[in-house]
Amino acid sequence: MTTLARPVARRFTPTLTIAGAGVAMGLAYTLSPLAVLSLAVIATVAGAASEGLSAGERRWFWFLLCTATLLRLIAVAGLFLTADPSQPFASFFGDEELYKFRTVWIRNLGQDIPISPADVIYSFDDVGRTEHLFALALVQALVGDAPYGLHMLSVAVYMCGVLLLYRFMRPAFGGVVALGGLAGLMFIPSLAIWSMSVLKEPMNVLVLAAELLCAVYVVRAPLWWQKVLAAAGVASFGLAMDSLRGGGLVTAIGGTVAGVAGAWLVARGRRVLVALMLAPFVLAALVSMPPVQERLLANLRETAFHHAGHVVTAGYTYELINPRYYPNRVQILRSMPADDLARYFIAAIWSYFVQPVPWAASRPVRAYLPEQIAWYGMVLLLPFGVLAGLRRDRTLTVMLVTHAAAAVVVVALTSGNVGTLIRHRSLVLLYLIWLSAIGAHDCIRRMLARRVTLTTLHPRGAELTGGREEGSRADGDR
Amino acid sequence: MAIVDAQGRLFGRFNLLDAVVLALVAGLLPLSLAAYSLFREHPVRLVSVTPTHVPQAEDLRVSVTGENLRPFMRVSAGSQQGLDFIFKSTREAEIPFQNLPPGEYDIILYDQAQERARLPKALIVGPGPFPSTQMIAVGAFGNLDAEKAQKLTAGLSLSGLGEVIQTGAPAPDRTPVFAGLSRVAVQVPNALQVPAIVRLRCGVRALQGRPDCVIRDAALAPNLLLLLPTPFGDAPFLVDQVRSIEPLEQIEMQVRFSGDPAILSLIRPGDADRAGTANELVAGAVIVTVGPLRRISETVSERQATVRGDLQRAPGGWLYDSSPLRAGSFLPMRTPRYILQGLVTELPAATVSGATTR
Repeated sequence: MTTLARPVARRFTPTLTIAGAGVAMGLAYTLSPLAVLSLAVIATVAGAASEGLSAGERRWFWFLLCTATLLRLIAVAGLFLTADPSQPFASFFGDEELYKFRTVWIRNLGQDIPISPADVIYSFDDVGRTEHLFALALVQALVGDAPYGLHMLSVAVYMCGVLLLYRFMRPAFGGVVALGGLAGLMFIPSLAIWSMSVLKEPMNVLVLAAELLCAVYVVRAPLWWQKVLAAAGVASFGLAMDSLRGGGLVTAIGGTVAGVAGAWLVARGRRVLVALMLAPFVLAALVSMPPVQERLLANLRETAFHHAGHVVTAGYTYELINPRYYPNRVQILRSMPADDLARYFIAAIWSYFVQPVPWAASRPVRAYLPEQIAWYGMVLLLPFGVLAGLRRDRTLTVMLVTHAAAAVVVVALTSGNVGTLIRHRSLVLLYLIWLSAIGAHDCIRRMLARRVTLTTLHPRGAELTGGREEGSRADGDR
Repeated sequence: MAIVDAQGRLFGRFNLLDAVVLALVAGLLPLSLAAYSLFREHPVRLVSVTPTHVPQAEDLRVSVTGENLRPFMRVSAGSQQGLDFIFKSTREAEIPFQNLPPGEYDIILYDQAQERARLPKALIVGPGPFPSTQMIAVGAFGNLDAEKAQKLTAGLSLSGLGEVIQTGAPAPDRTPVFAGLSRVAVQVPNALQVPAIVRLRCGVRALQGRPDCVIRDAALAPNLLLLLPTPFGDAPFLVDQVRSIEPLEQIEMQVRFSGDPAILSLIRPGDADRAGTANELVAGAVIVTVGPLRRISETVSERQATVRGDLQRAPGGWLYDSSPLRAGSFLPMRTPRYILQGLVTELPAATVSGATTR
């Protein structure tokens, strides 16, 4: 063995690390270019989102984000490694295959690559057709087939949406609330699973976040042209939401219009009082007008008809209307009376929040129970969150409430299948989780403040409660 | 002894850097081999198809052999997609086809994304025991707007199914539909219909022994509603009359009508039988001259008439509305005012060439 080489220094040099990282990245890029590019996007956006955070907050931020990303990477890698070799690729959900196959077919048709005659027909089938398919086809035209990379792209898109909301909520509601919301959106199981899926949900999250920002700027922008630009943003993102899922435009426009009105009302206490006094009369007057009444009843009949359609689908379902309507759904459109419709409306909103009930005799529902309990907790915290939110940032809180309300009504009235309800409800969490987080934060702060007061007034209170003076720390988190 | 000594040697024998490089090379080799065997593409190849020559049949099954076949693959014969891909092994699969028309086909193998292999002109489908043929259908294209009605002209190709031979004047659309056993003419608002004679390709099929000429899974017959491919999309075509492709000849014959004097007195020159339809293009018969009413008894009279009919020459004689017509046959006369049957008393022999053809 030659001895011409100089003795190796004892101190570890970064050269080997850089070389190792380069080799690892090269290997990873060879396996899945899209996954590496997606990780680069996540790192860049996360870096931008962590700007200006305090040291402690930054530590938590990166811990949450790295853990979330790592868990998702492990899940996607596990999917790849456990794939059935007799199939072209593996997927988390059956519906994903539609996206993976169709996007490649569309890409191939665009590039004049011959595909099977049957696939030409399926490529443009109306069932499941969204503009998202064309976006994914374009991505695969750039990076090649990416049946697993698309999962990481979804993760990147989802995280971009969540980080956008995080940066927006932090100055308004404080670092703790923002981190709480971020943790919820990253780790609530159903959201975590959707975030990895090659479905339209991750893209929906990004578009929803962007639309909410524009809606807030319609109120908050100082110059009129900025307001117009923000309104155009609301319309554009609303259309994008609608192209992904029906009712998106209604949620965007309805939520923004109601939000602007709500923000104007809550700006002065007297306006709220006057509005509360006038609202019953205005509502009564509107409902008593025959054209409005007819329109309202017709729309409700149509949503009830859709609901009845969901009830006959496979899986665990729940009923909102009289059982005699389900065997012959056309009756709903023809002859469902107003009192039945009113009962249906109330049942729909109630069921939206309580379904699936914990005692439901269904194994998948029982498996979902922990998250359902967490959902109940979040819903119970909402009133506290709204009150605390109005104290901290009225416009943003009102916008969150109105957007959530619009999304709740659209989904609640048409749902009937628990699986679909949970899937659609997860999108409303994007709005509600911040209010729940601020509600939880406010409740804990008040509890701790009461302990401090007890300790100050009654020194023995400290022994009784085992209290530590944490209230002041909680107060100072903004 | 120190693991790495003062000279940087491992166990006092190897230079540490050399050892690292050696370990790296030794480690990379199996890693590369493992990666190669795991991620190596297994190119798909088609080797053969059996049988290579088959007669046309409703259901057809071919077997392909190749390399690295996978269960999710598909096969097409030209643009005709196989119904299934019955995977037997990585070297063999079976593909069923339905109604593959006669012709020479490339056998093409696809994976989930695109075409992967092709055997050019590997499958020849010959004519089946039942032939393909052509028929003349007279009817009307419906549900048209003025622009589409204008585009329907003689010579228009019907995308491989046939062609338009003659068209009539557009009229408001009235499509007869079945209401129980009777037929009801349904008005289609703001739509036009165009009478037309079309030549259609159809295949003879014998379902349960009954021979039919089938086009798009439907046996060609009067009252059939077909969707025919036109340059502006599929257009509904309601068939009024079907006949063979032999030309029509206008032949004059003598016909004696007998019956109620009141009804016989309604016969006038120019009255036409259009096979019970209102379609001007349907082959029929026209009264040329009509003789005086001759009373046979109190309630029965007779009238002699010269009738010019659109007849087709057939080996056994003349055909009128696809039925044999000879002296002694009854000729129906269905007009908007009356319906009668006349006895053909005099008809030129079918071997004599006719006057005009259409």
